[in-house]
Amino acid sequence: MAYLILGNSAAGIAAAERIRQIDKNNSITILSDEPHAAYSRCLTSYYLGGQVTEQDMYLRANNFYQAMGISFQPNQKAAAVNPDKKQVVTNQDNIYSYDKLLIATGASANRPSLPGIESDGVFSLRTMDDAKAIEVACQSGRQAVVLGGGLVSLKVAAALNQRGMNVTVLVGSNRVMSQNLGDTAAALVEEQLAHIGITVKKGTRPVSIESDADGTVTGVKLRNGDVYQADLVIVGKGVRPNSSFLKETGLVNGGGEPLKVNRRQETALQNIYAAGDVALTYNILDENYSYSAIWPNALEQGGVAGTNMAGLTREYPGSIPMNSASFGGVPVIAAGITQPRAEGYTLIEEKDAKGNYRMLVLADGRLVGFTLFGDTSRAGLYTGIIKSRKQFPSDQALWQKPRNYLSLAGISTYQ
Amino acid sequence: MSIENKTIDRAAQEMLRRTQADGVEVVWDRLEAQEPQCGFGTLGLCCRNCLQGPCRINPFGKPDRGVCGADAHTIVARNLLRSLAGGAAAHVDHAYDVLEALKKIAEGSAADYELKGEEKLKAVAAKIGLDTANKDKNTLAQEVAARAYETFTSHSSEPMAWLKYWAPAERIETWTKLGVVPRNADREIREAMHQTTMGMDADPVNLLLAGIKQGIVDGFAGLKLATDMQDIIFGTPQPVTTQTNLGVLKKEYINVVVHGHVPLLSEKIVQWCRELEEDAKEAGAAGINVAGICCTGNEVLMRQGIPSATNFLGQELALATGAVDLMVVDVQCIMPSLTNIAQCYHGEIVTTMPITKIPGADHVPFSFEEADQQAEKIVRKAIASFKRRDMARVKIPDEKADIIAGFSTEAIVGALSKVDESDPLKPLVDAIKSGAILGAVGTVGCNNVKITQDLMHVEMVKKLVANDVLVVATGCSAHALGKAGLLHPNATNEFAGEGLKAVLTVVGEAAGLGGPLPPVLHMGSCVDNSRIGDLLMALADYLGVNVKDLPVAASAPEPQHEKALSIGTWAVAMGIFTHLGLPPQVLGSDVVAGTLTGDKLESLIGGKFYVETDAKAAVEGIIEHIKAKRQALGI
Amino acid sequence: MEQILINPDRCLSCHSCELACAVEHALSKELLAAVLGKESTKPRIFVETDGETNLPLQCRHCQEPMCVNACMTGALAKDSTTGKVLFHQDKCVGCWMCVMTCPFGAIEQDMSQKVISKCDRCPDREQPACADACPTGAIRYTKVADFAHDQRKHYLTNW
Ligand SMILES: Cc1cc2nc3c(=O)[nH]c(=O)nc-3n(C[C@H](O)[C@H](O)[C@H](O)COP(=O)(O)OP(=O)(O)OC[C@H]3O[C@@H](n4cnc5c(N)ncnc54)[C@H](O)[C@@H]3O)c2cc1C
Ligand code: SF4
Repeated sequence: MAYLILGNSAAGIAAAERIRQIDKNNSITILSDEPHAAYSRCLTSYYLGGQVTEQDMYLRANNFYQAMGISFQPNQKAAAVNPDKKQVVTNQDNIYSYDKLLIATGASANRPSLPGIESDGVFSLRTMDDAKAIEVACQSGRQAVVLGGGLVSLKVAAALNQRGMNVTVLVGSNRVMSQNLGDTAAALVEEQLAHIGITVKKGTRPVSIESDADGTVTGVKLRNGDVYQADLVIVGKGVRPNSSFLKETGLVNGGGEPLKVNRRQETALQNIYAAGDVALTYNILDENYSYSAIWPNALEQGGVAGTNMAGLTREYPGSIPMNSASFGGVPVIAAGITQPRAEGYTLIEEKDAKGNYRMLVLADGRLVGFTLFGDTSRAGLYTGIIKSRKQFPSDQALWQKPRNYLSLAGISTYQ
Repeated sequence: MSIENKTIDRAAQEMLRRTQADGVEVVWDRLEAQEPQCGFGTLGLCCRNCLQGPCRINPFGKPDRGVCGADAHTIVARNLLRSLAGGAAAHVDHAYDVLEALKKIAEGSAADYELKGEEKLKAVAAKIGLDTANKDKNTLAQEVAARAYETFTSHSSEPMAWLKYWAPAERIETWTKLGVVPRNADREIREAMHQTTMGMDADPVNLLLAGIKQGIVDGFAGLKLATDMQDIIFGTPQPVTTQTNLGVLKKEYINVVVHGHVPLLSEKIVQWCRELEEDAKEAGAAGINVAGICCTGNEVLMRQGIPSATNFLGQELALATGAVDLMVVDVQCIMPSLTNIAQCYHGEIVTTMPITKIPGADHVPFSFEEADQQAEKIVRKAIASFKRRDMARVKIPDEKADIIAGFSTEAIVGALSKVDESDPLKPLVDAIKSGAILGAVGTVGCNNVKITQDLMHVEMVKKLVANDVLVVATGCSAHALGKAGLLHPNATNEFAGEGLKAVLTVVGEAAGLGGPLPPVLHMGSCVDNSRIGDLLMALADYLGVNVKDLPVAASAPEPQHEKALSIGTWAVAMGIFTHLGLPPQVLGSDVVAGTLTGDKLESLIGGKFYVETDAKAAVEGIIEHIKAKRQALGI
Repeated sequence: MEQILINPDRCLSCHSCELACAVEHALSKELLAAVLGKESTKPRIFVETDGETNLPLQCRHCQEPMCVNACMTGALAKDSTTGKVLFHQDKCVGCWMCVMTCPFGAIEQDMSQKVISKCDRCPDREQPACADACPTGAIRYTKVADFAHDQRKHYLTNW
């Protein structure tokens, strides 16, 4: 029995650890197209902001692979999978055989096809090497333009701001973090961004990236003709699953789309599993699969995949969209459905005198989403309630209860 | 906790081994069961003064106010004031009882007593400005009683009577400036309850000043008044020799233990034990043996030479000997657990006071009017109880120490007058001036189960006397020192520094002891702390200085009771540097704790509290203070 | 393996556990010293109430901890031998992912230091400070089997 794991990040490491917990003897091999031991990609923006060192980013101790009996193969980019032969071929033409295969290749930053996007000084942040390259390119006092107002874009913007750059964020929609936040919460985040000195321009349509004769970036041009001067441009336009190398297997069509899995994280092909940013996630709220590329999902799905690969049976319980971020030291947490578009949702919100904002979304007497800004304490209680699908006697009942476990979970009937 | 860490008293250790083997729960076990004790209470940060509570303040953050808005400082100061009022109330109530007795005896309605302290009566009467000539003692006593009652009946803002008569003018002036002169003892205690109820004083400093007032109330309307009345009724103590520790119980005898605080009962019990000696023999006993515990024990020890069995923490262990046939109690410091211990071993517990009843105890209401009848009844119960005693279960530790006690101020002056009849204080003052005696410390107060029993008392005093500091002791401190042999002349040779030893030898030999005085002078019960006050006032007067300038200190090494806090506050109010071997429950407020131990208080009133839990460090702190005072006096 | 087990029926909401916990996590680990030294410290256990039932709640050291899955720095980890959910403060960046996922709300945010705090089961003590401090036995540190046994006995003798 040989376990092969493509991807050396959240999903891959979680799977390997789980397999080793169950199966102490058989070989485990991890391939990565990066040179580094497993690190946390979420920390790349913290690295850029100077809050953590490279050393802090590594997820496990130095002797991790050795101690776990894992063969780690860096710089081995999977190029193709042959399900019949149960083999994976890498860019270096190495062939790895498997009995059980996990695809945990994650995702890459989207690169929109803008003219000039290949100019020097245009970056995306996804990997440690990206972070290091940006670190070299950024200079205090110079202009940085960030394309995109999503979570990662804003994190990078904050990091560059921390490094003393003058940062402008160009957002296409009418608010930041439009995937996660409704208008009110987004406005509060925008206030914070302004407070720390980040300029946000909304409803903007970049049409090209300008550069000088050397091919070094000079600015970003908008559809309306405005040009934002830039010494550094960050492209933060979402992610694309790293699945194109699977074209021949039939698991994907063109590549770049997420892999379909079942609750055991099995793909349509036998002995091939998928987990993390490369795959779809079972969403508890709509009881269906959707794309939800977040760290906890990758870790949990990796664990479920590992369990099943090692011969035990385990189903992924499902998850909900959620995220947490802080700007200017003020945290915001949002989970579940935060911007209901259909009928039948009740939205209760409140902004207190101290500037804290709380918003709950209910449907059918059940909590389906929330947003907390400022006071985010015990946010997990709401997350837990959403996941429990518990019905409350009235919408107000949930809203008015103090945010503690006993009152919210209603365990007073506990015997 | 090992038995050695519970108590240094070998008799107590032996009894603890017994209760442990028998699975009988005593005070140390109960402490263990309570531990760790509530941190909010330890810091004084909980308030139950209204029904919106209970509230508690988080010492590390929020909530930082109670429901009403009281903060840590208010709550700590309020709680402290209530404790001080509790302590003062105990002593004032005690004093009131003996005053009432004096009046009834003088009027002839308490015929079982007669006034034995005629000299004291005259001295007190003279001091409070009564004409003593050609009056029989009962008439004079009635006049004294009438004056004494004014302490409780003043409806003006005049200083309360017993304070007005006895406090030095300098003190009254200082207290007046601070606005802490009590007018009427009852009114001040009532006012403290009012001041601390919901929605009243929130100013911690104002509350602390009210606390000082409680200390002054205790000192004059409690301690001083009680001692004076008791001396008038029973006579002023003179040196006696006797013994202490559980070894004073006697297997073949009927053992009667008196426990509590007021001598009105214990004196009568002693008398009736003597009178019923024949009945005891008929019952098969060799006789009746009386022993004391706590301060009523001290009262009969000082005046009658009755041996003392043990101090506060030993009260249960006395019963564990199985040899106590009856323990009769009046008020204060009586553990409600006594009845359980008596059930496990032997003996009857008899309560006597309407405000101190214990389930499981026999209650014999005691009154001055029918004192003899009731005392007889109680002693007869002891005889009956003896008959039920299982001799096989009797186990009396072979531990007892010889002691000399009875050092009232009058007795000390009397002994000194043997050295210099015309100027009795001179030898003492000269010794202090020359440095033969570095200074004096009164060690007073309780045992506290959180401190190894007697350890702090004994350790501190050994170090003090070795440094030529004369020690006077009262209450459970005196018991502790007695058990450790420090109330005996031998201890002078063994522990006292050369200078102190020389002075004690001169005085002792002149007084006809054929050797030195003990290094520690036992001055009586806890109300007899007033005797220490009298002595200090006399010394200051003699030297033409104020009490606060004397090279002296007070110490409650093992304080337990609210009374210890109010006595300590009285000492501070008198201008005395006052050591506590355990912090009171005030550390939740740096304002309160800081004020009580701070230089500001010392500059205003002359005294302050000094908290130190380590015996060696405490003695160093005290000696440093004494030396500073000597320096200020230029000696 | 011993666990911190709660009997809500016995909890009187005295908050002694919170205080003891704060003290145990103060530098001096001693009440009077911590107060006199003005140390800043916070409890990791919280007495909750819904008006009827009181419940001291702290990190349950879950079998499958959500927080460990959510922690993107590796600051939170499950120790497979002791079963404890361990927290390594030096790795924490205050992203509050764990706060977002802990279904018990047992993870506290230290907003000034940007790190979390949570129950560590008192590694320096035989028995956690909260269980030691609880005067009624509402918090016990015992094996699940023993706890269940006592609960059954209580039930059978008190119905
Ligand atoms: C800046 C930033 C901030 C973020 N912040 C948060 C956050 O706050 N909260 C949150 O929940 N999520 C956050 N995320 C998202 C989170 O990092 C991802 O969801 C998570 O890393 C997904 O893990 P994964 O294991 O599925 O894939 P990845 O982490 O993407 O790892 C993929 C692995 O596969 C390897 N690989 C890729 N292709 C191949 C190939 N062909 N052959 C071999 N190996 C290959 C890679 O080298 C890598 O080791 C953030 C992401 C970024 C970039
Ligand atoms: S706040 Fe700290 S412990 Fe919690 S998930 Fe983030 S890094 Fe981990």
